Amino acid sequence: MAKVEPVTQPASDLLEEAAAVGGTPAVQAANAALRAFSKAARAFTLYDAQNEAVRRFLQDYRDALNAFLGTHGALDLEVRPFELALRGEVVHAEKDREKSLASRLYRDGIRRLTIQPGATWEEELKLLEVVSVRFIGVRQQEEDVVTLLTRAAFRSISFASVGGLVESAQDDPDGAVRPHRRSGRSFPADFDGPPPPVLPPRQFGYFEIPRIALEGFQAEEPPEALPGNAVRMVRELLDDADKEEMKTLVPAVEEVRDFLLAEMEIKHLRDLARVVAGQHGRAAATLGPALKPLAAPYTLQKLLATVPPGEEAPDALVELLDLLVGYGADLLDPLLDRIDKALASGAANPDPALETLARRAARGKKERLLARLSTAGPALVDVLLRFLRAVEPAAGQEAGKQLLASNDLAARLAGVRLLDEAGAGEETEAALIAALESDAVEVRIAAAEVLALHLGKKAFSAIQDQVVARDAVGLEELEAEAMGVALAVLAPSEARELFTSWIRPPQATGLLSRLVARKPRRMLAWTAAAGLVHVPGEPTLELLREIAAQAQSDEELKRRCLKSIAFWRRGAKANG
Amino acid sequence: MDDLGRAQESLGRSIGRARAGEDPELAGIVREKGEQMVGLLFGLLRTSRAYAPDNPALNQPVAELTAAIARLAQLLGALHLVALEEQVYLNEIRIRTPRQGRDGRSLASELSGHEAGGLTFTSAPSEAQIRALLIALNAKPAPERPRAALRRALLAKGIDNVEPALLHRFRLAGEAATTPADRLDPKGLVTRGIELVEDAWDGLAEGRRMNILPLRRVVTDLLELQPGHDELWWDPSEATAHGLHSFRVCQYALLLAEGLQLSVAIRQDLGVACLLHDIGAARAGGGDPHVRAGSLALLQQPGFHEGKVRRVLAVYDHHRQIVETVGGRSTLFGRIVHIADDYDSLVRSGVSPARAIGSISGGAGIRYDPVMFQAFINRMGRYPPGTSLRLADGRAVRTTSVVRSPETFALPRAVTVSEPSEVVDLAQGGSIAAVL
Repeated sequence: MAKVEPVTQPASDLLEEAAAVGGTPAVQAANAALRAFSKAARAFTLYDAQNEAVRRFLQDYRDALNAFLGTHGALDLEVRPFELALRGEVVHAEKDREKSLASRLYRDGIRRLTIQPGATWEEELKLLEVVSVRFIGVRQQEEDVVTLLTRAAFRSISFASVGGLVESAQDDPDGAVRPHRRSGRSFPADFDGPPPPVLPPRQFGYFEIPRIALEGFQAEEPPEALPGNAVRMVRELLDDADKEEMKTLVPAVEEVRDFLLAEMEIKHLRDLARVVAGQHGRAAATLGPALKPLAAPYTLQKLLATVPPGEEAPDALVELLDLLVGYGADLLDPLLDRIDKALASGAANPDPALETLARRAARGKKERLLARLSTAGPALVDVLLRFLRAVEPAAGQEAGKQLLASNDLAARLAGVRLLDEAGAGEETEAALIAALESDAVEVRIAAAEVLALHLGKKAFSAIQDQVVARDAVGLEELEAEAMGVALAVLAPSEARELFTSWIRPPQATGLLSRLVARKPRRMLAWTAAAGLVHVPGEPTLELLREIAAQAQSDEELKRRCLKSIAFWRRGAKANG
Repeated sequence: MDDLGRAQESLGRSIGRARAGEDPELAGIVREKGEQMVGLLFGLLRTSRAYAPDNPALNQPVAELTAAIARLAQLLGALHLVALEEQVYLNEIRIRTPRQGRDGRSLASELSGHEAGGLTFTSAPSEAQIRALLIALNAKPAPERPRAALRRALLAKGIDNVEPALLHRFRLAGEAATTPADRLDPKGLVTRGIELVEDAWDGLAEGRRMNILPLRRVVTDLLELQPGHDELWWDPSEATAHGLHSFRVCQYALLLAEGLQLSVAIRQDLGVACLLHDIGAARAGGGDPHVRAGSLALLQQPGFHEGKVRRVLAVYDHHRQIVETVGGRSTLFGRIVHIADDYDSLVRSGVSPARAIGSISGGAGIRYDPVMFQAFINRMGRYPPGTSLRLADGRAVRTTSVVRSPETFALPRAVTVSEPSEVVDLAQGGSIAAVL
């Protein structure tokens, strides 16, 4: 159901109405009213009914028509093939058959149209509706303008029409009545079954039917009954349908679906979805897919728009969407998209209806939620994690891994947090070790911290390799400190050994080399200075002093060492 | 929401409904192939004057015209092409007319020399028949009864599946019909209605699409004429039982609906439902299966419309009693059609109309809705149309009128059976001795 994007300016097509009519004020006013009528009627070929342009055309139509009726009395129009005339004067002309209001009326057999000053806005609107429907070119098989106008049963709008085609001349001498055309086929004489039994008569005569009883019958087929009857129509015929018949019902289900959607009849759409699951669910495989388009983005939006902002989704909508999911509709991503959009535009929380529906659509879709995590923005991540916990409380580790693949820094950090929450384990450790190679320093630091907390077995060498590799390309102080601490926490003795090797790099043995002694690398020293704080024993203090001594004019490194010494002493004192 | 907002919403809903009601496939084919057919026919009529009939320049358009007619015939059955003024109708569906010739001539004016208002193709013609048709149409019209002469010429060339139609004109409806010629012809209406029912049955049996608009027009005409009009109780001699039954049920149901003061829109839909209420027999044969088969056939007809919902359920319910243990209460239409259908079935089986109406009275409250029955007899009277009576003066008459006022409930108008027939209005005098 493609729709034109909302616009605020009328399309040029609607501006090219023939307006060049001179004459009396009545003629000019009639021309204005009919131009407005024609434009409003054609507006629906270009715009969605809710478009602002349609609203303006409706306003113009009402104003111009009422201006004429209020000043000049009845608008009594003679309908000609391409013109409308008022008391013999042309008041509206359009030669383009596709655009011509006169042509639409004329070709459907209307020859005179009269709008009385007493016409209500409802009647004027109904008239517009009839003509609009014909401009769109639908209902060719069931209705034309004459039958539509007849059905409307106007009080203040009247029309004269041609009553159809008649044969005008007989050239055969015999018979005034055309002979009956013989039917080509014969059908069984008992086509209607046996006649009903002849029952003994009762006393009967003429009795007026009370008004209240008549009103009861008239109220049996109001427009509001149509959605329910449409669903019943499908249900009755589905009940005993065999598989082949069921296939032929697909178009009918689609028609009823479109009608109910146009009417925004959520409750009856739900009923239709229930009916489609009929025959103990056997019908669903054949007919269910006919309802899947309800989950398409545009239609889903229409369904969701029926829920007032801030309110919970009504049960009928919840059940409808559940049934659609059962028929294979994929609602999760469209609903998450909407939540994402709302959050991105500043909403603090998702709309309750949307959250409920999305959570239901997420049931059993752990993998989809995890997949979505890797591309989700931070606000949506929180929602996804809520859904994930609801779907499978133990899904944190997988969620964390997915989040680490995200492009969003906050999401990746959330992923590390989830891995932390998931607890130590081989998979968690592997994921965190992989995160040590992240391009974001924050992620690498967080991963190292969690690895230290989990005391991962493979973490020490991984962090060591990472420090060395990063040092070669530029290791930042914060990261160096975090890595140093992690190494020391993971294996204090091995860490001291490692730090010692960094502070006292092996010296070359050649003559020339002896002249140029190898110095420790600054950031490795920084890493060691930070890590040594967590390594107990006197040799640690020695090492820290050695680093400080080596720092010479590097005041920052020297300060770092003194700070570490102070911390180390405080720690040593606290530990006795 | 203000007035305009509500108007937008209501119009949007109506447009949505209308869109859901379209049969895009049928509409597309009739528009496309119909336009192509008329365009080719019009063009060939003109160009074939300049070429020999076997000129290769005509091969392609003749082949295309043959194919277009074949496709339409497959879909619609017999094709009734009517050309009138600048408009062209194919099976009552108006189609886009081809661009007229430079001399301003239209298809209508091309055919008018033969006093033909169109062509009826009872089956798809061959290419040879199309060429022969073009020659016949381009020949000089006969001075006397040219349409009959054209028909003979076509038969002589072996074209027995194309018939020139009478000239048509627009008939003014309702109050605009000021001349007798403009007024509806009741007998013509009966014939047209029955033929349309028969076409619909044939079409269903052959797997063709149904065209509801002509049926709806018949109902509109019945409503305009009054469904109880004296001259409508005429049985065309060659009418099929199912065609006549469907038409009569339509009349009875419209009379009942009149008694219930239902709206015009409801009555229109009811009439169409009645014309098609037994159509399932064309697919499933007689007896019980026709009910389900009929509703299914109507449901399968593409395009959503409130009239369609009503007729599907009417057909589904039309044999249900007012109180059923399963399925709850029958629909409004179902209950109306049930009364009309049973009444006509009794009459068709040979029960006199007066006894049939008595029998229906016996079932009121059990088989039939009692208030609806009252509405029915309020319009049909004690001696419904078709009842044979013997008057006190010895004359045998057959009633022709429904109830005209409460006072004429048992005093209908009638015609004498013996020739020359004479109208007897019992409201003006005379008394009934016996029901025959």
